[in-house]
Amino acid sequence: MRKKKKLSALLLTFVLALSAFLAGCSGSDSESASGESGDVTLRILVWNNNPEGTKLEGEIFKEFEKENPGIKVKQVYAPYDKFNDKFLTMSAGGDQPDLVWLQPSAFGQFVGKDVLMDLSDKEINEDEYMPNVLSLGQVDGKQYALIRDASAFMLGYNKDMFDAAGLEYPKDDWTWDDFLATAQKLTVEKNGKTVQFGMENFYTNELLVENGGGFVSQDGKEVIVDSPESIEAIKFGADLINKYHVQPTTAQSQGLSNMFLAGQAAMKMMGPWDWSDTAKNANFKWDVVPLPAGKAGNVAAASYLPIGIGSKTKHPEEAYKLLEFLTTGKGQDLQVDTISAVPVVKRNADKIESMANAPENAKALSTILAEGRTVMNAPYIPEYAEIMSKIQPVIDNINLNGSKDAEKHLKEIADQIRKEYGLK
Amino acid sequence: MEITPAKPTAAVKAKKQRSINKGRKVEKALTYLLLITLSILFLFPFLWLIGTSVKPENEAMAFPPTMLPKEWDLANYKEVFTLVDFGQYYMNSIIVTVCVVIGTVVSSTLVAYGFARIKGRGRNFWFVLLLGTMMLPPQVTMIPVYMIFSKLGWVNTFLPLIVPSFFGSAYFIFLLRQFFKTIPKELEESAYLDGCGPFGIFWRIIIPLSVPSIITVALLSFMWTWNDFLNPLIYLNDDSKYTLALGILQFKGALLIQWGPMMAASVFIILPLIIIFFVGQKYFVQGIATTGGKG
Amino acid sequence: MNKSRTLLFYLFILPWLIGFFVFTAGPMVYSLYMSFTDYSGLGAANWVGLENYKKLFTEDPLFWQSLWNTFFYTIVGVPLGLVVGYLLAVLLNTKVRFMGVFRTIFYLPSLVPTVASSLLWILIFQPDFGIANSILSFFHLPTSNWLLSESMVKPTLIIMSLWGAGGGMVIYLAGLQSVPASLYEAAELDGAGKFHKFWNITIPMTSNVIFFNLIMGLIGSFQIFTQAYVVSSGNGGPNYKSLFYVFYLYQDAFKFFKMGYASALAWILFIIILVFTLIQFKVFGKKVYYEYDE
Repeated sequence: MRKKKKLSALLLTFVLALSAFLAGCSGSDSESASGESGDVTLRILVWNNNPEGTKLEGEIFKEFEKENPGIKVKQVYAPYDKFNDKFLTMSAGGDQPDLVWLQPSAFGQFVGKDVLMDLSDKEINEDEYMPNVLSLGQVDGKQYALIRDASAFMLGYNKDMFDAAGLEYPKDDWTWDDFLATAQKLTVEKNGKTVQFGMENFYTNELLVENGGGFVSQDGKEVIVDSPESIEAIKFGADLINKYHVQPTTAQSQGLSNMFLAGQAAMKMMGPWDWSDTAKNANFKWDVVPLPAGKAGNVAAASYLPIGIGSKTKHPEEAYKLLEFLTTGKGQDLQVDTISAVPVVKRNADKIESMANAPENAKALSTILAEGRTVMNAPYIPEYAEIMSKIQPVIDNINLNGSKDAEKHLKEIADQIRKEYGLK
Repeated sequence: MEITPAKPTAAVKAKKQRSINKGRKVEKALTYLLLITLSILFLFPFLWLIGTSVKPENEAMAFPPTMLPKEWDLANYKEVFTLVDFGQYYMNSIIVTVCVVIGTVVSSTLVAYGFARIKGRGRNFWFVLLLGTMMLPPQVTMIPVYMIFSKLGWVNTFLPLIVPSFFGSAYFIFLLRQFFKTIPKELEESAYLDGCGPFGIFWRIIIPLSVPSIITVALLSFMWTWNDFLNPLIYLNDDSKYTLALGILQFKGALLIQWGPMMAASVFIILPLIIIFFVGQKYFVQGIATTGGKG
Repeated sequence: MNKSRTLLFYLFILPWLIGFFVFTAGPMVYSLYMSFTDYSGLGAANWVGLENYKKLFTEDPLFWQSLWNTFFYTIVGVPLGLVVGYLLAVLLNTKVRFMGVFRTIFYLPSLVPTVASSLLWILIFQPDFGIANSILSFFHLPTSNWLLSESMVKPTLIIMSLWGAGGGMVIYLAGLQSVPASLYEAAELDGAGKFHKFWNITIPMTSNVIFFNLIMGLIGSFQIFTQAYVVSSGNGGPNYKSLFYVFYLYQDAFKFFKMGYASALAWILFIIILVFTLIQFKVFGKKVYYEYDE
């Protein structure tokens, strides 16, 4: 019958078309843990810190491959804010990468769920590293990750603006009071509108650390956002905006990712990863100085990159070789020049100053790191990300409305969190 | 009260015609005015995008932001290709998108025809189910779907991006069903009398009369696939396989965002879409659907 | 309905049917199962019964906040988008020179990748120097903090969505093109004016696509989150006023590692959307005009 014939013809065509497209559109070969000729391929899941990042990191991996014939390294990229999406699907799908970059907020979760390989039994010489570095990769005393670079924020300042205001450049041991006075002199108004702010944006986190406060205590057991030190720090931050007007409000700064570079702010938070970009694009003289001291001294929050090995990796030996290379071995020598990453090993402590585009006072950073003046302030408890996301709106509100009722609000949220998560 | 004469004189007729013409002219002028005003509104973000793409980085971040750069600098466009493997991304996007469009059009038209014009038992049930598949946020099915593709060994290939399109897309099936249902039954009946089977009706009657809607499906499917970054993100591991939508995310680094090259990349990404849309919308020509059988 | 018709029907929908069973049904059931566990996305999934559902109704203020945010956005945004998209399509359906150019221009905003368009929007609605406030103050109208204002953030997001009306507009265009010219001609002969033609021919004859955009608008709007996520820099602010339901769900799943809980959220949403859709079908379904209504 004609009807049936036409239908079977239809189905046949459909199936043929389908297979033709499947064959043609399948792209190159699918995943295999070991490639041809017995090569081991390690996959490392990374995000990129800057657009060129992935390409540049590749150069370090190439060196590793040269020194380790038979091991190939493949970078798998996921954007920073979608990193967990990728990692979770890969893990749940049985496709876990061999090594993975870690975001501190996720680290606690990964450890608790047996996702990372325990490295405690590996031979790691603590003396090789700068102080405090190894502890950044430990949870409950066990080593679950090694650190590839560890640095901290400093304050970058526009030298030309200081000169114009007749100010002396900040000293390495300056305090909050020094900072405030300086910022006030550097804030310029014209026709009722501020055309130059003293400070672009003082991160609340850093203020807390400088004053000895925080959200949750390092051991993860106590809520400390309503401690006197924390309250003082948060108030100071809000006052910079609302009382002293040296820092723009969120409304004024929304959408502007770099007022400093555009010549609209005299100072900004700056990490070594900013040096290249600033050197390239700034049309003024600049330098860096440690963050001003609160009650806790000229300290800063540690900014670091932990790397871990997936617990399900099929190549634990090779994976550890790569991890070692990156965090202790030759990778540490290469990374300064390729990706401007600050090394964690003592032997490279002075390489910071010779980094491309390093500002004059770069050695201040070396000093901070050598003296262990970085503070880790994000405990590795699984709920930390959630707790942070609940406290942040309260702080945003205080920054918006002023510090008058700050103490009350902070106590409120602190108690709420204590109740919800069973903390002290 | 005026008594209009039974037959208007030539003079009156001419006068009426002139006032109608005048009315039409005013109407046309107003339409143009509206179109141009709205165009500026709609075009503005895009112009700003182009403006940023030709600015050097420190000007890109100035405030108040300037629309046009002080000096035109095409460096960003070159950087797009040096910072990442943009050319390869382009190729990949083309391959994936074209395959998906073909798969979507072929399968969705067939399935929509079934839902629209063949009354089978259980049709309503399956239709509700079809709609239901769109009601569960994909964030929670992402992982189990990935597991399926992982078991099939299709991870890090284009297969998970392309194959599902050959099984119909609920959105487009629903859309085409709505269109297929506007074609008169009489056309079908006369074709049936001529000895056409259901597939013949599908192929000879429904499809030709549905050109605008099929073009719409092709256009929308193209746009969505071209701009989709979530699926490539989840399923592609090799940089050499990335599509444009995923590739452009690399300009937003965790510590440094380069707006200039990102906007330049966006221009590259949008350009083919503009061209394809401009060409495709020409087929929205009134009258195609009016032929056949009636009157 | 006879046997051969039924067989034919299943034959034609076979591609979708196969796809459904292979790619969709399993994952949907799996996520339902997840909603009764404490799965975090990693490691084991332990059965907790109705615990997640209980928690979200009684202990989670953000559940209600995000639900309200989403409802507001949907109730206001969908009808608005429907009307604006339709009127735009009608405008773009007139015989004017360069119509192709105009259509492309109106469609342009929906083509810009989110990563770039989000910055554009932030700058447009910048309270200090953004175009929006500049224009308002030029006409001595009150300005707003837009995305940073608790009361204005959702209306701003709705305005942003209207820019992307291009998608719906294209569908309306196709629908408008399908209205037989003969109907208009016949009406003109009967002396019908513009409005009469519009109301009695255009709208009924495009009711099929209007209905489609209504249903899809609803389903899509209930799941909105990307734009809000980007312009609020991922925090759903100010003060959770832009935390849409799926945004909150996504956060729970991928930032706080509460996949089981997120699955429960997902299924609650599923039921809500299903109910609303069925209501739409009941209320408006009969009003839609199909030539082939069986």
